[in-house]
Amino acid sequence: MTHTPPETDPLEAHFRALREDVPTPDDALMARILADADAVQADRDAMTAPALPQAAKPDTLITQIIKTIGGWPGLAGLATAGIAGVWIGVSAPATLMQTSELLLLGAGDDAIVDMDPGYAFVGLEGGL
Amino acid sequence: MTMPFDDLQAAPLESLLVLYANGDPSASRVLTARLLPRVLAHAQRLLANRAEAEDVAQEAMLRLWKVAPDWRTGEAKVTTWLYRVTGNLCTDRLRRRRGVGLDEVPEPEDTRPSPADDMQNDARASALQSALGRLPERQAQAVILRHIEELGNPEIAEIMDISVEAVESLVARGKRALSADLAGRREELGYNE
Repeated sequence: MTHTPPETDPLEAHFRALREDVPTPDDALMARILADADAVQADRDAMTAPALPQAAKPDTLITQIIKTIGGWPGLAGLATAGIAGVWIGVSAPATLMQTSELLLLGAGDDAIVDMDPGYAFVGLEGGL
Repeated sequence: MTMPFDDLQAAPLESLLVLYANGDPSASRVLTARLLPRVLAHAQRLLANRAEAEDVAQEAMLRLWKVAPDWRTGEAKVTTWLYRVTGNLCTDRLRRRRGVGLDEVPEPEDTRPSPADDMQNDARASALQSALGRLPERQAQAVILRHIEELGNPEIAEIMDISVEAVESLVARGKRALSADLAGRREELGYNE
């Protein structure tokens, strides 16, 4: 059995009545408030979001090759050397041909000296 | 970052505010569901006008959304801050009303359905609401916070930015004035003694 003490505050019945009279927010008010919340959130996101750094693209094979040979200046040098090589191969000047023959093919038989045509030196040494 | 809705329901209000500030779209729904009834009720009790109370509640919640990123956790309770903002917004409106003239001030509204069993309670609530409207603003606010919202004096002091002793004084004076105001209607309101 419970005993409820009598109210000593003459206003308490009024207070209790007003406490129980709780206004319920309607859907329209809820919608307005949530729209405000979304708008403030969107504004803040737009203002504070840092610009996304551009993701570095991986180098293509050609880019990697160009970087390997020293970038564009290196590529330009390589191209020049290549074109010069082709030009020399196709229409080499006569002097260049003579020089290259001298180096590659030799200047003739007089350039070869046979120091021991009869193998005498080898015989003296007791070889053979 | 988004938390499951059920987890949000039990989360502390401050945590929800942080989640909202971090972009969680569900946090504002839960905050509104938990805070709006209190804000609206407090505004309606101070203003005795539903439309104005709704405007104040919307404005108070808007200020909460705006302050969310700067909220300093642990410094103040979210509800305390909201009661203060709501009280200040209502005070501004009440002061503007005074400039309007008494005849143009809307009568306290009573839009609730009144089943026979509740008529006496409704009458008492309505009588108290009217009497509160005749009190000085600060007394009315202190009485409402103490006896309707049932907050402790230290929290009321924080909301009203005054000392605890000043709260006690405001409440005591407010209650004396209310008692005197309502004394003439005791029989009408169902008090037989």
